[in-house]
Amino acid sequence: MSLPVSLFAALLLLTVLQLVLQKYSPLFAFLLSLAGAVLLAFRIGDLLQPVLAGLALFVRRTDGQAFRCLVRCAGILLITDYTRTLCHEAGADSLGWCADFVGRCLVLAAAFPLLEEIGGKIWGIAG
Amino acid sequence: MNGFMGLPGTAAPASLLLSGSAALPGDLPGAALWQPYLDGAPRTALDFAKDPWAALWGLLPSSPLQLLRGVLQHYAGLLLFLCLLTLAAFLLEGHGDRELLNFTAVCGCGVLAWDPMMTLAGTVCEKMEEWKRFLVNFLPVYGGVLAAGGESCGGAAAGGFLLSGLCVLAQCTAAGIVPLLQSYLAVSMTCCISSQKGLAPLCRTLGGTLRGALLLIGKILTILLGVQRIMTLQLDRTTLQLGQMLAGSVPIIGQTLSQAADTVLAGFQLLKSSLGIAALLILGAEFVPLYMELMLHLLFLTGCSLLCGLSASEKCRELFLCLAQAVRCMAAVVALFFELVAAGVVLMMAVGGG
Repeated sequence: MSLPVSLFAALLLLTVLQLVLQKYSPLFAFLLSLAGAVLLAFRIGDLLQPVLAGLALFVRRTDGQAFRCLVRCAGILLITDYTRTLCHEAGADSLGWCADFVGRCLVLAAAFPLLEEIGGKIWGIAG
Repeated sequence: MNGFMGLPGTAAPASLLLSGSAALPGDLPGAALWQPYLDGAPRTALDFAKDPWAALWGLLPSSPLQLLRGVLQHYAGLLLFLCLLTLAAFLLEGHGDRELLNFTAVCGCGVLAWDPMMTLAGTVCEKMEEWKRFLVNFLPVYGGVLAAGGESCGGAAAGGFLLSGLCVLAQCTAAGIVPLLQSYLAVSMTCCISSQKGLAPLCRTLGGTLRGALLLIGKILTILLGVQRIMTLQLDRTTLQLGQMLAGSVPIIGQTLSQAADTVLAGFQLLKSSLGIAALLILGAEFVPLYMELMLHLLFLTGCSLLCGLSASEKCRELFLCLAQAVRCMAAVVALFFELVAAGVVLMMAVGGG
């Protein structure tokens, strides 16, 4: 069975299981969701490995801070989005907000070298 | 300049003058001053007379591909960054905070676009300085040729209003373009990073207004040059007719003197045209590649704004539109300078014979 078909089949199965579990045991449903995510990440890890290696090489070749910042920001945003969704699913809305806030702070921290460089250029004009 | 009038044998054959690079008779006055300009022209007037298109084509840079590659080197990093942004936008489609990604993207684009823009501004400054140096040397020589050809007022105008106007423009451009562009880039980046809508279009409007003002200045100065040329021509004609009448009134040799003067003046008219065309070609050979480079920068910036449109990054698109406006302004300054030189020289060449 090809990887996409197996992934979609696994996702379908996990969704049905979660629907059943959510009714009787929300904690197990949540754990199943988490396990499903880990399983999927593990499964597509092999597939993504050459892409990530290529991306890393691409960033190294361009030797630019801007590239590193963008890749880091995209990664942070993806993780933040997943964490927030997970928190909302678990019914922890305030934690979801916190995840969102932490994500924003991390993105700001990742983009800060760029802001610093722009600030330096503007400061350079001012003398 | 009066030395031009006093020396004999000034009526050089037309074919020799038109050929530009051909050797002129050694007794022609002031050849040491104007011959280098005729020799330095990338194409001769005769080439234009034979095949104007081929001569015009010859002004283009030897390898446009090399020019394209040179400009592409500046934008390689930026284009790769935008490809990465498109990829990230595709991954985050419908997820995550796009505003934050756009914020990082606009900062990155600003940092990466700064150096190519500054390099471009430096090239424009350098060329303006070069052209100013050329004109400071050339226009007095051209004025001398005009004066020697019986257009003393025209010659004075060439060394006066036209030269000073062009020098002021070149000086202002060379001195002001880099700080102005730096300020414009800083303001554009700040406006595009800011979440306030309307600031970036305001920046673009400022750039557009500056460009419009430059176009208007160009038109006004061209009209002024035209009016000045007509005035000087009237004065010079009157002086010339008076001189011919006085020379013709000398008993016995009067008619001969008048005919000799006509021959000398005809020679200088030809020299005036050849020298004007040579100067325009020398400057044109510098102007065309620079203008093409500016247009290529504009093309790349437009391409970048399209790429930003693909990744739905409105802020980056706004930034690139602002940068494109800055390049348009630089192109307008360069075009204004060349337009004034061309208008001034062509008016001096075409009006009053030549």
